[in-house]
Amino acid sequence: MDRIGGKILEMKNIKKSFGELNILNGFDYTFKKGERIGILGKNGVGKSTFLNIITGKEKADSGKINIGETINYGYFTQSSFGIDENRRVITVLKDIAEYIVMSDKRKVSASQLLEHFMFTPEMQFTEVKRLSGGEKRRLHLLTVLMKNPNFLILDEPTNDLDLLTLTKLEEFLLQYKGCLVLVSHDRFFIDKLTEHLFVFKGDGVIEDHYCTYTQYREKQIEKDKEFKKIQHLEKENSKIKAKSKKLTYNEKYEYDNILKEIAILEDEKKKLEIILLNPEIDIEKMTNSSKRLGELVTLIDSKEMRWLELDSK
Amino acid sequence: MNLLAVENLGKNFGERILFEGLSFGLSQGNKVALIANNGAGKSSLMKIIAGLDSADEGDVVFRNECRVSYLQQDAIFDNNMTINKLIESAHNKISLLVSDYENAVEAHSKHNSKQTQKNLEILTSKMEQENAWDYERRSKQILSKFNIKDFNQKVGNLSGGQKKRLSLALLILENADILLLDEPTNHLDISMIEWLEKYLQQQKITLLMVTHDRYFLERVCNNIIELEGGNLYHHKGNYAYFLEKRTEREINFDVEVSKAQKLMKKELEWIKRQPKARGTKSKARIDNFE
Repeated sequence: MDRIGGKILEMKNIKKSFGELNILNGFDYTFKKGERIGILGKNGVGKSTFLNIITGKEKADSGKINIGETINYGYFTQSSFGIDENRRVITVLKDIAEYIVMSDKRKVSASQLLEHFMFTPEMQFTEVKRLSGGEKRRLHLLTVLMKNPNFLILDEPTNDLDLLTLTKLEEFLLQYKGCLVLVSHDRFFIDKLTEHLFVFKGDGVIEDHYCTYTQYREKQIEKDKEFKKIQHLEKENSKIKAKSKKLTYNEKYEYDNILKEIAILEDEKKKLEIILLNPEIDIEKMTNSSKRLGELVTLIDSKEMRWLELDSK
Repeated sequence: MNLLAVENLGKNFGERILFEGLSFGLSQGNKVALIANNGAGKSSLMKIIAGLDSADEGDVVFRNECRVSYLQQDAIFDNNMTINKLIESAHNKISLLVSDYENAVEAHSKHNSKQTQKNLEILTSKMEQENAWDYERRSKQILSKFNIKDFNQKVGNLSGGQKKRLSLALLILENADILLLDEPTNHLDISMIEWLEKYLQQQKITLLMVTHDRYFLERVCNNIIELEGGNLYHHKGNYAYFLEKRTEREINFDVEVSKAQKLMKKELEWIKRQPKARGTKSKARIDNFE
C-alpha cells in the first residue's frame, strides 16, 4: 500500500446492507488529518455499523478501504469496561502509556490526564472497584485516550457523564490533534466540536454538510417551512376545487362509532318489530315493547342526524 | 402557588453524608433543572421526592391532589406485559374511562338490554365531558412519536433505549401536574429530544429534572438548582445565566483562580459567541448582563 500522506483513511464506493436494510450505498470519503466529523441520524439507521466498517470490525459488502500505515484507532462505545477491578486507577493508565502528546506538542502524563478529568491524587491510587459507576465510565474513556489514537471514535460518549466531565472532555477534544468522529445526541457537544456533519437519512443516503448542528437545523427548519408553504398552497387550491371533507379526529372517532351504535339500535328495533307482529303477545310485553320502540326511533333519528352532520363535513 | 416543598432533607450512605439540610420549593409553572456532579446525590434526591426512597431527615410535602409522575433513569416494567396492556393499566382516569366505554359498547352489542343501553349512554356523555374520544389516537400518536410501533410485543423484548422511550411516552400520557425527570434525553435520538423539548416548553406543567443536555436545559428550564458540596444554590435563569452566576460566585469567594473556573469562563464565552444556538428566552439573559 502506498503512503497516503495527510490522508488517514480512504473509503471508495463502500456498500453495505442487511437484507432489505440499506446502510451504505456507494459511500466515498477520504478522512484527512485533524478532521472532526459529527454523525447524525435516527436510531437504527446504521451509524454503529458505519463505525465498525471504519475500524475494520465489520466487513463491507463491496468497495475499497485504504488505511494509512500509521493509523491507530481509539474507539469508545457504550459497551462495558472489561478491566481487572483490583488494580489501581493510575496503574491502569500507566500500563497503556506514560504520556500522550497534544496538538501543541505538549506531553501530558497519565497522572495529569487523570487530574484533568477530576481524579484527585488520592483517587488515582484507589482500586478501580471502589469507583462509582460514573467514575468508572470516566476511567474507561481515559483508557481510550491514553492509547494516543490518531483516529478517535466516540459513540454516544455523553450518556452518564456529568456536566463538568462533559466540559472537561470538550476542552480535551478541542486540543486533540487527530481525526475525530463523533456520534452523539448531545447537540451542544456536537456544535462545540464539529463543523462537519454526516447525516444518515436512511436507506443508504448520507448527506455531507459543512456546518454546525445548529446551522444544519436552521436550514432544515427553513426547508420545512418552504415545504409547508407549498403544501398549504396546494391545500388551498383543492379547497376551492371541492368543498373539503374535513373531520377532526374526535369527530372521526365519533363518526366511526355512531355507525356501530346505529347498527346495534337498528338490530334491537327489528327484534321489537318482530315481537310486536306476534298476535299472541301479552299486553304488558306489548306496552313495554312499543314504548321502547318509540325511544329507539327517536334515538336512531338523532344519531342519524348527527351522522349526516358529520358526513357532510 | 406552591406545589412542592422540600424541607431540611438529609440522606446518608453508611457513614458518608450525601446531603443534609436541603430546602427548596416548586411553584406552579416552575421548570427547574437540578445540576450536580456525579455522586453528589441527584438521583437519590429525585427518588426521595418521588417517594421511592426515604430520607434520613426532613420532609417532602406535595400540595393536596397534586398528581406527580416520575421518570426513572432506568425504567422498571413487568417484562411479561404487552405494550397494549401496559397502556391500559397506566394509572390514568381517561384510559380507564376509554376501556369502560369500550366494554360497554361490547356488552351492549352482546346483551342489548336496557341496562347496557343506559350504561353506554352515561359513558358516552362522560367521554364527551372528558374529551376522551381522541385518547386512543393521542396515545398511539405519542407512542409512535417515540418510535414504538408493535403494541402487541412484550415489554421484556424491548431494548434499554426502547424501554426508556416507552416510559417517557406513558409519563406524558399520564398528564400529571408535576413531572420529575431523571435524565430524560438519555437514549433518545435528536429528533425525539427536540420533540420533547418543544412539548415541555409548551406545556403548563411544573417540572423538576436532572439533565446534562445543555441545550435542553437551556430551552426548557427557567430555574436551576445546583447541588454542590452539600449546599444548594438557586439560579433564577437558564444555563447561560447559571454559568455567569457560578463564575461570579467563585470570584466572590476570592479563591485562587482555579482551572475549573477558567473552564467555566471559557464555556460562558463560548456560549456567548453562539447567539444562534439558543432559544429566545436566554437572549434576554444575555441582554441583561451586556
